Amino acid sequence: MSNGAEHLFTRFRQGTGLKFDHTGYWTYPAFVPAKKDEINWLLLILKAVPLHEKKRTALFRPSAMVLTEAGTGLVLSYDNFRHGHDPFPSQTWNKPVAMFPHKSIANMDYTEFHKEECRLMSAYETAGEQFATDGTLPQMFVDLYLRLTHPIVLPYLKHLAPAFFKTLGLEK
Amino acid sequence: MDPTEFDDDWLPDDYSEPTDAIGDGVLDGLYMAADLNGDGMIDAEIVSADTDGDGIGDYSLVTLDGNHDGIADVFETSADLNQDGIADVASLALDLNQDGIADAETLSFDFDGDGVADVFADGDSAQAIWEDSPASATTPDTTTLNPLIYDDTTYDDLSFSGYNELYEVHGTPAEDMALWDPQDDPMSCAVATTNMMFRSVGLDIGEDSIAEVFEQANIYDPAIGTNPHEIDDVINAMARANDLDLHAEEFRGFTPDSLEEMLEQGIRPLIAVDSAELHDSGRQMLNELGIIPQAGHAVQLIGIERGEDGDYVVINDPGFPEGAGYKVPMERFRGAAEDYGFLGVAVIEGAPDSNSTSFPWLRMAVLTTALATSSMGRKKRLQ
Repeated sequence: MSNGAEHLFTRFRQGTGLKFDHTGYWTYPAFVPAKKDEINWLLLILKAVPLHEKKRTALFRPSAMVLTEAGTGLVLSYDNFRHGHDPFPSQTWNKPVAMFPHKSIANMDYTEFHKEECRLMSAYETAGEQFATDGTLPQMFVDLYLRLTHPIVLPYLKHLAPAFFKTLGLEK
Repeated sequence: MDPTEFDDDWLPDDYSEPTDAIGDGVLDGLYMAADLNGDGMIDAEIVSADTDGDGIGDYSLVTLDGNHDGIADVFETSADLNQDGIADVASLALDLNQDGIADAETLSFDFDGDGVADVFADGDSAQAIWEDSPASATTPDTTTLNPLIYDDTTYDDLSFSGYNELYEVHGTPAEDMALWDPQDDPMSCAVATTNMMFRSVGLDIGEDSIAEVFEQANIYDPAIGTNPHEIDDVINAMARANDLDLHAEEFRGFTPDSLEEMLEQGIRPLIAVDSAELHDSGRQMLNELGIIPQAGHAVQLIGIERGEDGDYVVINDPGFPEGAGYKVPMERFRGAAEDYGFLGVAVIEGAPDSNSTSFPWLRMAVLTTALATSSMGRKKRLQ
């Protein structure tokens, strides 16, 4: 075993060696069914590159997907699309797919945006319980979620969290 | 529309609020092929929409896996999202059967509304301006946007005669603006800031060399950025491998007083900050900065000023064209740093305790060369 590998393994045991590609634009959690009457959170991470002179941040295709217990932060799975299985293999990593901010939040200031994010997050517990119980979501949650969520995220959620996507009411 | 300008809202033309213009249950412009029945094969689908309400379908998507081999045979989208009469093109494909075979895919948009599909420059340097597709390469889009305008100012703007009598200045910010190194790549802020720290102790190693070491040490990825928690370890390993008379230390929970103490000791540390909070004066809209909240960023602290109009920090920000000697109110700086636990990295003159290294690849010829040619560090200039 090389020194580098030994060093790394030692750090695994120390709990400091694992690395997650977790930088970028995090989507708000989507609900995915778990055990009976329970849900997990699914979050996507889109690579994000600030373009300061353009006054925007380029968003690239999702680079990773994280599944956690709802509201606990306990990671159930982590899928690195760049180095592991890629469900969207033909999508290039070099071309942005969208820009931040999107239109519905573009004219919020940062303080207002933060407040709206807090309002959305505070609705997650109730919305999660309702989703787990009857597969629906409170309309307030849906409206706020769709306002704050970048539209480019939705097509990905359509495939990775289809039940949640359906509940957003975007399809008839 | 002036092809060199974007819309007033600074958004690409192909953005629109999620709508379902023709009521077919599919969001206009937000559609992807899928394996809805879970058999691992992409289903055939045809969708059309009238996004501009003129009664004519201007958006269509076709996917077809006729032989059910899991690969979309036909998968095409066309739309006229900016309503210029010219079809923009965008399509996405999946590998839902996990056979590793790439499905057809193209992505292009007409961001600047000149009727020509734009593509982004390939390569890691996504900060490159987007330009028209090769088909129109003879008339490239030379879009030039106005520089960012902040309420803040740079250090030299306030360095008027008698300035030092009005402000209590810690560090030598006017001099240390020369340490500034604009980052070479969109995600290399910590690499550039590390180079600035080296410059502060008389070394000009260069961003390329540091990036190479950081990549080998697996703490920097040009597509992701730098893990700030291991910068000190790698710098220390570099110092051991190259007999540099310096070491690095990560610190947390700094205060203005502790930063002042560092500055007085000649240390010009890297500070991890929330870039949006650092540059948001409190009155700016998201589309005036375009920075995602909590976006991690690295800057170099070069001074602290205390005066009657308030306390300020002076930083070298590698990510902004006006980043040399950029002044930020102390409270805003603290708020931006708080998100990262008041985390910083200091490069300190003096050898580390250990002289051994487990990473022989750190012994880089390029680093030795850089040392031999170094000429612009702060210590050198003071000499």
